[in-house]
Amino acid sequence: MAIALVLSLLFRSPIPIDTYEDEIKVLKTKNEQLLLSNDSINKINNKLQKEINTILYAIDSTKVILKETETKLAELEKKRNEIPSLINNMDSDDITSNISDYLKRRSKGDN
Amino acid sequence: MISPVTSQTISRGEVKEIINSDGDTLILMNLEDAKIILSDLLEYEIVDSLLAVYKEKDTLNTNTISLQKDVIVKLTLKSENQQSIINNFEQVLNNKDIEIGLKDEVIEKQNKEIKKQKRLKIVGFIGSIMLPILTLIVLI
Repeated sequence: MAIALVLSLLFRSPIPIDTYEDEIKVLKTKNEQLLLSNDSINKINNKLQKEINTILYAIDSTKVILKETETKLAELEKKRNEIPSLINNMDSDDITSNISDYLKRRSKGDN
Repeated sequence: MISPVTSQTISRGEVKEIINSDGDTLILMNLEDAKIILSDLLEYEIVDSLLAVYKEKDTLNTNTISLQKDVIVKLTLKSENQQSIINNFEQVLNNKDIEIGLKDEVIEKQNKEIKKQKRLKIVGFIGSIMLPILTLIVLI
């Protein structure tokens, strides 16, 4: 009996421990899916960034044209402000030739 | 010769018409009035050009605003996507924590089992040594 007890103590098989392998496998699968989802979202974001860059380039180009427009406006405003002094310094010949030029321009515009 | 400025007999604000010997109808006015008319004409001409350029500027500004709106929409979408990425990473982290917790639990249980097994082995070995000695003592 005693020998049997000693032998059973020496060669006793360990109690099986639950290693939660299935649970860990499920968690790993979930994580893989989440990381795949992140990859897809990153691809979408890269595409969005490219589109944003294109739009920003278009905005920059528009700003350049706007600057040119501002310059044009400034020039025209300057011309407009110069008209009174320009007219004041004109003699009758200048006045008639300018009116004549205007009429010519206008008739061209009408055609 | 009299200069045109000093030869004005027609008063300002007054316009007359005459028909010359060739049959042409001539409009007569004070030189200063002609200057006012020319000044207005030139100004209207420039104002027309200004109007066209202002319209162009307005169109460009509208386009810029529209493009900026598009950028805002896309940036918002990108930001939302980044938030989703963060949420996913948090979920991954949470899952990893659960995984670590489970593994810790397994390690702890296995440690306890190893210790228990060690104790039993010691008891077994002691028994295997003591049992023959006790048997011998009893027999003697």
